[in-house]
Amino acid sequence: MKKEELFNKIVAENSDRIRRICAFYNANTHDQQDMCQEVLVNIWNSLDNFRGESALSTWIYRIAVNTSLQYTGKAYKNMKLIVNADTGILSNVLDDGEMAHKQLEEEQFENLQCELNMLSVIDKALISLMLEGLSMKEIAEVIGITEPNVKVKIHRIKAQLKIRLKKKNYVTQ
Amino acid sequence: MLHSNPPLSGMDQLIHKLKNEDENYARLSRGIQIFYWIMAPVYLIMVVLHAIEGSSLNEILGGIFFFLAMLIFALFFRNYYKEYKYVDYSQPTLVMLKKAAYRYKPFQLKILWAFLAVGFINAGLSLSATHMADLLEIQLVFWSAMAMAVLIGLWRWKVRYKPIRDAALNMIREIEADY
Repeated sequence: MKKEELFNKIVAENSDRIRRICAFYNANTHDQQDMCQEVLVNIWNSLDNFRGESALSTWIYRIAVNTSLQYTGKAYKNMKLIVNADTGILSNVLDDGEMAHKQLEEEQFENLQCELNMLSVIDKALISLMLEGLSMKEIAEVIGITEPNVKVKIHRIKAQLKIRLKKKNYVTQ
Repeated sequence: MLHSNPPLSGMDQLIHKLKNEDENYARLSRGIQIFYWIMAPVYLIMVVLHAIEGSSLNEILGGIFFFLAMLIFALFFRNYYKEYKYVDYSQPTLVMLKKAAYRYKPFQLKILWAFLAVGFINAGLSLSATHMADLLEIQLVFWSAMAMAVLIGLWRWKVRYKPIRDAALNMIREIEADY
């Protein structure tokens, strides 16, 4: 298969993934499109190195996450992680269905959004992959660390988020 | 969340742009390499001609040093462009960051090859000097130019590449923190 054909096939099959990852890091449509273009450029440039050793989805996620680190590096401090108010997704982050339900209340959702953006770039990358529904093993393959290490990191992030949110709730009550 | 796979906007123009960039890059890379691969044999032929004509040993040795410098530059640039053609974003994040941190190091071992080639050019120029005054003048101009080049290179690295390297090192530290 020609490079161009393979590229078109990969992009057509993964445009949703690419779009979602880009949406995690950019609030406005214009920035999302810019990052999407950057991801596509890097898919094209990395295509010669694709050996099929990892799943195509892992390969795409690696490129998307690595591009986000590079891309956001230009505005490192302004990097945002944007999540939608999907209860299922939030319960993934908080490990707490009831609390996630409450997050639908606008003020609390904003709090969560704010806390997510206090996370470091790497933590944001980990959370974005988790929100994408990747398993710990898949996240480990994307980032290049061990599965237990991913578990430790995700556990730490969730614990931090819970403490901060509870503290805020306590303060506002 | 999206549930279909509509085409991403501007795909046709993007593919066209990417193909053009690939071609431009290949042309530029070939051009630089061709220059050195032409210059190296030219100096070799000049050495042979000098030897046939019975030129002085200094002229012959000078030619050999220029030939060696061109050869090293040709090989150095071939390796450099192969390695730096594109960053491979499909590697695991930690691997990509470590490679980036290495790539943006101000001094790498392989730069010694470039210094060796520079040394050969200096030797070639020095051997062509007929008087001590010429030799001193050559050395003064040559090393001033080299010092200037190194300073400009370091300044450019500090402004452009050091922040990238620092950011990469911070992220590596963070990823490896919970081990």
